[in-house]
Amino acid sequence: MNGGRTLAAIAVVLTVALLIPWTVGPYYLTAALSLWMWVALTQSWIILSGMGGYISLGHVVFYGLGAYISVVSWKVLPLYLTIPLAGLATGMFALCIGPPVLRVRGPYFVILTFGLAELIKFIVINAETALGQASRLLFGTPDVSDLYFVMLGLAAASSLMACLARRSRLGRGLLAIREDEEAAETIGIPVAKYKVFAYAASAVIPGMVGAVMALRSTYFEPLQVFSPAISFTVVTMAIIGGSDDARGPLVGAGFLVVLSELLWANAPQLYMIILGGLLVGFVLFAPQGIVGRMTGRQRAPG
Amino acid sequence: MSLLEIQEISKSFGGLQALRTVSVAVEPHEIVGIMGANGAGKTTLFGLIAGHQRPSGGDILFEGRRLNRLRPDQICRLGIARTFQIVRPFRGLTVLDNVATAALFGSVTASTQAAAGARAREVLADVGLADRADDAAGALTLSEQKRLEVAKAVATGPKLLMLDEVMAGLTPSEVEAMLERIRALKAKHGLTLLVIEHMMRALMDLSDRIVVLHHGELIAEGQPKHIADHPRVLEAYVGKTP
Repeated sequence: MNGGRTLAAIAVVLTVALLIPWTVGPYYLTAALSLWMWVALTQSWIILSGMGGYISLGHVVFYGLGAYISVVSWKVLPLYLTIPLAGLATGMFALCIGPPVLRVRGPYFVILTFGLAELIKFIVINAETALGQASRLLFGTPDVSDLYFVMLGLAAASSLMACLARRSRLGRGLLAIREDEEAAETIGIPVAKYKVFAYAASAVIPGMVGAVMALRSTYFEPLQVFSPAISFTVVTMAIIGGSDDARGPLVGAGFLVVLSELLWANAPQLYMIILGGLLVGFVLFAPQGIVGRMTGRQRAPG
Repeated sequence: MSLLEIQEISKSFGGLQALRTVSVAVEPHEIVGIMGANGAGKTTLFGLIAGHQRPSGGDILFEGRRLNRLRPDQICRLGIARTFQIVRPFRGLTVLDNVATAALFGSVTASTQAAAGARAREVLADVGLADRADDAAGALTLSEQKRLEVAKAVATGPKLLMLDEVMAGLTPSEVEAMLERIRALKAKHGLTLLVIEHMMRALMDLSDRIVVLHHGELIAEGQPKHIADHPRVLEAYVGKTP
């Protein structure tokens, strides 16, 4: 895609996105907020899992931790500190657990990330019980339209990060790691360092997204913010859109959010069936995703 | 000072002694051939030098620096590159991206993506793959994949290049072409080479010096013309002392 057209497309999308709170009703505003949430989460996921090939089925762990941090620090810290703090904390968390977790590959890594998210979920549940907190309620959270702008900012930041990562040495190294880790190491790529760095980079945004969504829902329920369904949805969006560069998650998230809004309203019982069917179909027939399919599997040089 | 000094190195895998106190010194700009039957320990030796395995005993020094505890990526950045006997291209990437990635990392790192691309194109031209640059690496023929292995290794900017059977499976004319390319690359980049090869004639033709491994032991070392009628080599290959 040529640079001018890309810039024009970004400008149009951002302009429309910025006008949404003033032009549409609450239903569409909520749907748009959810769209940007999924874009932010999926873009962050592809840094490690799309480019590096380490498929994480536990991306929700960062989202849930971010939400928990924002709930715990509610009315203690000002919001402009809470949200970055949530991102910082989840990034640090990934840096700490990354070295052991990233020693395993393939299906073992998939299962490990899933198990880790479940483990943290139950630790939080038990901590809440010990603290005597059944489910916390937050009063006086910001207006949805304010949160919308924060989420839009996170989606833009996440997309920019994925773009920059793809074009950087890190991205080049990750693609080589995805193809053959030992061969990558042999040509001088610091494999262990790059994997941990990519893991931490992909953990920051979901921490902040979780913090914002906790304010949006105004209550805290660990089973909900650590729900594996969030991880599954992120993976599905990345697979449907394509996870090689930043265009994939935009298309995947857009496609699924529109589909789910249409189906929830008209045929809720069909939603999960169609979602599962789509996932199977894409994995079997178009593993490169919509974007990969449209660009004929060609990878942008550089 | 030798460029590479292998000092009494040993490696055992469980009960199997793959290498037994082998010592070899490689001088700058030399081509040293490594001969030996399957299981003689040739590829294990490469694995130890490149850091894929750790020696059970002995030392490996490169420009006087001990390599024993370094990781493969650190060793590559010091200026040692290797190819794999069973080729390992990044199949999903283009031929150009394979080599450009090597140029971006390695010991002489390209400072920008554009510089890496330019160096990759040059190396691809040197190994005769310029016209396949934009194809997926997985789509290459075996002969082309062997050349891609060499191109990736050369693009990292090594001082010492280790080639593991890059001529196996090639036709006689392809072998000739490969020998020419290796000599040209050596001259152009001032390389020192360690070469494992089963094709005796090609190895004799290429090497300044040959070392022979047999069941993990170094049994002979010398100029190619002397190696061919070395008694221990004949014993190992033919089975009897004449």
